[in-house]
Amino acid sequence: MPSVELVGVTKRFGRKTALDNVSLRVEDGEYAVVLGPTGAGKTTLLRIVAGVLKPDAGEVRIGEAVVNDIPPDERGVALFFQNFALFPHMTVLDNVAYGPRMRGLPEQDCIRIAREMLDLVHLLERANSMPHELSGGMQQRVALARALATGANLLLLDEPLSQLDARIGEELRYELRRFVKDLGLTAIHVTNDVDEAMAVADKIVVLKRGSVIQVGSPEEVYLKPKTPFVASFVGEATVFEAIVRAVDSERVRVEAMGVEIMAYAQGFSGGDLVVAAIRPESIRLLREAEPALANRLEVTVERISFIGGMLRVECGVVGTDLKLLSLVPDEENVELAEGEKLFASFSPEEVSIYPYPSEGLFRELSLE
Amino acid sequence: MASLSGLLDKATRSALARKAFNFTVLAFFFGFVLIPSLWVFPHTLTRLDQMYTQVIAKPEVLSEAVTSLIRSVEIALAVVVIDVAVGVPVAWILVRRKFMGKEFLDTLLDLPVTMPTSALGFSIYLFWATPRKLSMADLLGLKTGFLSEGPLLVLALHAVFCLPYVVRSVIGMVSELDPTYEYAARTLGAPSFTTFRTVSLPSIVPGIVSGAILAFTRSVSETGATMIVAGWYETAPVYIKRMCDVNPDAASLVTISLIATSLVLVFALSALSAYWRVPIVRVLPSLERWLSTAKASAVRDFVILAFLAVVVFAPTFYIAVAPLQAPPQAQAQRPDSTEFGWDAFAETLVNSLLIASGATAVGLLLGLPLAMYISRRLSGRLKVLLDTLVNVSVIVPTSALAYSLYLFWGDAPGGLGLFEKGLALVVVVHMVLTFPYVVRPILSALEGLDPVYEEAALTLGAKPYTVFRTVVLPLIRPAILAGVVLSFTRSFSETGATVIASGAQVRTTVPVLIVGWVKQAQKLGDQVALYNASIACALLLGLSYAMLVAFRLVMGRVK
Ligand SMILES: Nc1ncnc2c1ncn2[C@@H]1O[C@H](COP(=O)(O)OP(=O)(O)OP(=O)(O)O)[C@@H](O)[C@H]1O
Ligand SMILES: [Mg+2]
Repeated sequence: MPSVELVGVTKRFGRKTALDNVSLRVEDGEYAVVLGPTGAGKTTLLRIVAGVLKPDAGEVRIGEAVVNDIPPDERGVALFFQNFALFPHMTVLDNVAYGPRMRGLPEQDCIRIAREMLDLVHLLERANSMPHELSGGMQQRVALARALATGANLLLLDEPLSQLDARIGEELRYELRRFVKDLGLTAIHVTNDVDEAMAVADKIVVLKRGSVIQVGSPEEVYLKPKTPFVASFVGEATVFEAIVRAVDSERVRVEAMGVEIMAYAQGFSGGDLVVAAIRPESIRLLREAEPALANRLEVTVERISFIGGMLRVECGVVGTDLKLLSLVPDEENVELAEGEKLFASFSPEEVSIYPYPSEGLFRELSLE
Repeated sequence: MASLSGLLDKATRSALARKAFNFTVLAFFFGFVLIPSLWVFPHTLTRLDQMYTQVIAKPEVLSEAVTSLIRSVEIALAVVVIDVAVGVPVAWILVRRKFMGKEFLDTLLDLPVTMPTSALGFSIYLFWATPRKLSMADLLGLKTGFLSEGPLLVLALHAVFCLPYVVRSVIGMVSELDPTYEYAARTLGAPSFTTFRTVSLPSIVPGIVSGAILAFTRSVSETGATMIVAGWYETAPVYIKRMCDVNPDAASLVTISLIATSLVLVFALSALSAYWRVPIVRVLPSLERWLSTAKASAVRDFVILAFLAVVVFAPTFYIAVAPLQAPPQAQAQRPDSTEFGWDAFAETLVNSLLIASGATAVGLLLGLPLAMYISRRLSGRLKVLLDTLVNVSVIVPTSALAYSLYLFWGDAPGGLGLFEKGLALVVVVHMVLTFPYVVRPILSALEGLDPVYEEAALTLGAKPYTVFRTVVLPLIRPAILAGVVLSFTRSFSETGATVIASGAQVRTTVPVLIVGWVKQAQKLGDQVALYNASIACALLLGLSYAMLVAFRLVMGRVK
């Protein structure tokens, strides 16, 4: 049961820097999720830990030992491949039995382990099929079984649930976590799905353009996003640029497109260009009569969509180009209509203020 | 151009025109390529009684024929073993390793198949053989050579000119490999050698098999260069060459056996490789682990590259060094001086280039439609049949093919009596032997091309010929070019078939002329002929290298 540590790991492909001085630590027995948009360098990171790619700089430690020069077959890691990499010339059973065979176990044990693992992913009856005869989701489960069958105690999962139906994926994510915990494995799970990360992680590592942006528990990452990018990527915040108009000991008043907003923030001074972020569920939509919080803006409802018991409401602040995103419970008494005029209200604690990113807001928020 | 396209568009839409066109193409394939190549079979059927009295009933004739056949098969099998053992690692190194001069090495590897085999044979002969003027042993002042004329020298020659077939065909497969599978095997605990054996090897087996097949058929049909190095050791194609005037029935028997052996072996090998499975379980784990160490793999790379340097490149390039020695003084007596002058060299070189270009042009003109027809119009058993017949025409050993064509077109009993042995028959032989080399890569490319693009173009309103011109042609261009290069180099270097089709004439193509010069020098100790042959071969080496570089430039631009 090893811990894993990366120290200053850098990897370039030609001129492209896929990982830029990445340092992170995953504790023994921890379920860590590396979360990042496509092209962030997640696969590269896992391949470096597994040893199939060599870093240009930096150290990889598994269980405190530096493993940079240890070949992948001696690292004791199991890597689940994003595109499965099931050997096309072997049956499902032979694929899963490959790892145990390479460890030199007696043949009947190899078969027994392979069958157990296939049973675990509910594919025992397809043991003698060839990989290409299975659907994408089935192949993914075989790949999972193959990774688990190695008996390695460090499990590296590259988007293990991406090909599955939403429902099955949600079921399997908890099974995966339970499996890792029951066996006391250490897992690094890579994904670009925020919900998936939130659901299974002990620790989330937000990766963007090859750099670690934030490391923390799911709550921390969600509630205290370190940068505007994390705020918008993890939980769809309304993010906009603003100028500080007034400051006092613990609060600032900022202005964005002619709209004034109060926020709790320190360390800014008048005239600073900043970025403000507001979580959708902290914005309440009120009819005139109701009592409002410190920030109260007149808005027009522009678009409503339904997502799992919530209404996602996009609205525009009247008289400006500022758009707000709100998430309100879909209750019977709330009857919203597009075009309706309402008040958006939120407390100053719910507004996060960040220094303006050096590369500009658009580039900061872009998923590329 | 626009009006030509319009015309072709109209023609491809007319069912009648299309039928007539397809008929022409098929008639060419069957009537000009396939049936004449195998004409020796029906020819023999009509002469079974002569076959019996002239060959079967004469033990000494029969045993000579059988011996030559056994020798050829033995040599070819040994060549396949050596070239697969060397070619697979060479291909692997060329695709996967990064090192200085890799491009250059890659180009050099094609040289033994691009230069006329007789020039190559002469170079290898001078490099290894017993001391005589210009040889390596003589240059070093040795009393004996490294290999004397005979089976080992034949093997040293054949292993060299068959190697590129294996390497090219394996490179094709290795560069298609997705390294993710290897990564997967490594993280599942397999050391690098075990990964190669259990994961990469199964995927490249088809490439190894087709390379081995080409190597086998090339070895079994080589005549010209073999005549230079073999001495007393007469292989089957050399026997055919000698016998086709002396005892044509013996020549027919060996020709038939050569074709049959090749076909049987090739189909057996293909069938076997389809069933053969690499064992996945661990085999000698400690040995494989040792073979996977960095040290072992460095040693392996070194041994392979050393083999290339000593056995392949040094003998191939020796001919560039040989003529640097002092030219002989005395002018020997010549039976016919017109065959030994530089004008004969120039004339035959031009012939060679013209024949190679012409045969390739005809091959492309008729081969492209044939490939389209097989791939797009046929389906099911008929398609498999035609595809197999194209392969058959690759497999028929070229010297057997040349003899067969002679029986078909020439003045042999039952033949059409249209061409004597000579330049005209040489042209026909080259058209036939290059044809499958154009068709094969194009057919493979078409089979790999998803017809959905053509369907899309058709639904977008393009007419059949326009679909072909705007969608299919650009997508298969690399394969067409590959076919053109293969066909051209194949024709330019072919010696065996040409020697047989030339009969007693020497002034046909340049490889045949070289054979003539060298045989003359060997027989009569003609030092000037020997010296001139070495200069001619050195020139051909340079020309072949220049051609290779030019092909690479064009290929690079198309890709
Ligand atoms: N073998 C390679 N050669 C060149 N560039 C590469 C290679 N592998 C990755 N890259 C580049 O490195 C960057 C990171 O790639 P990586 O595959 O690690 O991203 P990822 O986060 O896994 O993305 P995804 O979510 O799409 O799988 C990308 O810009 C990619 O184009
Ligand atoms: Mg990835």
